[in-house]
Parts: sequence; structure tokens; C-alpha cells
Amino acid sequence: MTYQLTAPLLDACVLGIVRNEDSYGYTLTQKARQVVDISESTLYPVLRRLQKSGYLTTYDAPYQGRNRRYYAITDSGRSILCFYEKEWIEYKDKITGLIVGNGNDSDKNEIIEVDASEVINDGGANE
Amino acid sequence: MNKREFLQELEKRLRYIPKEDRIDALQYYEEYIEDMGIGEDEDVLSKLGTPKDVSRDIIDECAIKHAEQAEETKTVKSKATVAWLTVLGLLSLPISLPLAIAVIAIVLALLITLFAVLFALCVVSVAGIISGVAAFFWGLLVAGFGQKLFTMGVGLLMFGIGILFFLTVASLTKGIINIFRRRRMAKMAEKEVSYE
Repeated sequence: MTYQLTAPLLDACVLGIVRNEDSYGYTLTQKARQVVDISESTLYPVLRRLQKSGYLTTYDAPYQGRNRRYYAITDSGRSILCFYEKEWIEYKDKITGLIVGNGNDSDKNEIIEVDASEVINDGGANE
Repeated sequence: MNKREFLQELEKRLRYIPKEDRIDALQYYEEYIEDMGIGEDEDVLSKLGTPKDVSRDIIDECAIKHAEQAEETKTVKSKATVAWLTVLGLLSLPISLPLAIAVIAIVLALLITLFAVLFALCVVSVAGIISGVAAFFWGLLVAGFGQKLFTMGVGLLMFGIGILFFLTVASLTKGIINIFRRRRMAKMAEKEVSYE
């Protein structure tokens, strides 16, 4: 993968995975690894951090004669995930705008009629 | 490296982080390896990475967390504790001051005794060597074959005793220096761990 994940983004991904369904370490990692390039040992510290911050809780459930530790999202986890989601969508759109070329869609038709200075003003007003 | 060896190595590498964190991490990875479907004797490294890499991630996280916690608790606690410690210190002065003086005196006395003993041993060894050499050559000048042999023999004996004492002093000094050095290193190691 070309792009690196930062710590908050990784937090958001993990919280997103357990948003609808409690999960345990191994499946959590595999789900994340399907999308992003992280090692098998990347998520443990993240899970531990989220747990200590109160965004995740854990409970043990028996599985084939041993314990399996499940991670579940808490209420404060949900609210921070909401925040992360909003931030991400905003950020993603801005980055896309920069990469694709800002204001391309809205200005295409007007460029023929108005001069350059007005296009710049227009772009500023849209922001 | 199989599962058991991996977990043992990981535990060793995590020995400096808080016990609770270590147990949690080991439990997680034991479970994780079982969930990966790796058998008891199969190789773990190719799929999970080395214990070194795994432990580094955990220790980094611990370090960050503890630094943050330490900062928080310091700012809140330190003022109150310093005030209380000052009050306590002042109140206990009538008892603690004589006690402190006594302890310092005892430690000083022990140190002086130690050096005195070392010095005495040193003097004995030097005296033995010098007098041994002197007696040996004096033996050459003494009249009579038997007396010559006896005096030279006594000289050699004293020389030997001197060397023996010298060796004892040398190894004792080395031992004492080592103890102090090791203690200082242990202190430094402790500091490093607390920084981590």
C-alpha cells in the first residue's frame, strides 16, 4: 500500500470494525489486513490503548475449551467514532479535491464566460 | 520457534513493563496464535514476526502511556505531597535528626574500619616482602652454613607470606570496587527502566 496509516486513523478503523459486532484479536486483525498494510502485531497496542482510554471493553467467552477475549465498543467509543467519521469524510473530500484538482466540476462551464479573477473569487466563496 | 518458545521469549523481552500489561499481552498473543491455527510445534515466526518486533510495539505503547500518566499525576499530586512531606519532615525532626546522624556515623565507622583493615593488610604484605628480601640477603652474610640456610629460608618464607597478603588485598579491593560499580549500574538500569 502506498499510503501510511496514522494512529488516529488506525483507532478509527478498529472502532469501526467493532461498531456493529464484537470481535476478537485475530479476526479484527484479519479484517483490517484485508484493506490496509499492517503487520499481525500492529493492532494489539492499539486495542490496549483504546481499552485503557475507555473506548473499548473486553469480555471473555469460552471457545473450544479455552478463553477468547472479545472487544466491544463503549458509548464513549461510539461518540469518538462519530467524530472520527466526520473528520475522515471531510478530510477525504479535501484530499480528493487536491488530488483531482480543486473546483474542476463547478467551474468548468463558467470559465468560458468569466475572467480568471472572478473564478478565483468564486472558488473562495465555495470553500 | 514454536508457540511456547515464542511466548517465553516475549515474556523475557517484556520483563520491564508493568506486570499487568505483560500478562495481558501474553494472554493476547497466546490466544492469537491459537486462533491462527498454528499447532503446538509449528513455526510461529514466519506468520507472526519475531518476539523482538512484537515486544517493541508493546513497549513503545507502554512508554507513551506511562509518560502521559506520569505528567498528569505529577502536576496534580506533586504540590500536595511536597507540602505534606515538608510538614512531616519538620515534625519528625527531633527524632529523625539524631537517627540520621547515628546512621551516618555507623556507615562512616564501617567504611573507616574497612579501609583500616585493607591498609593493615597492605602494610603486612609490604613489610613481609621487604623483610623477606632483607633476610634473604642477610643470610648470605651470616657465618656458618646452617645459619645461612636458616636465615635465607626464613627470608623466603616471609617473602611468600608478603606476596600472599598482597594477593588477598588485591582481590579484596577488586571485590569491593566491583560491588560499588554493580550497585551504581543497577541504579542506572533502574533509572532507564523508569524512563521507558
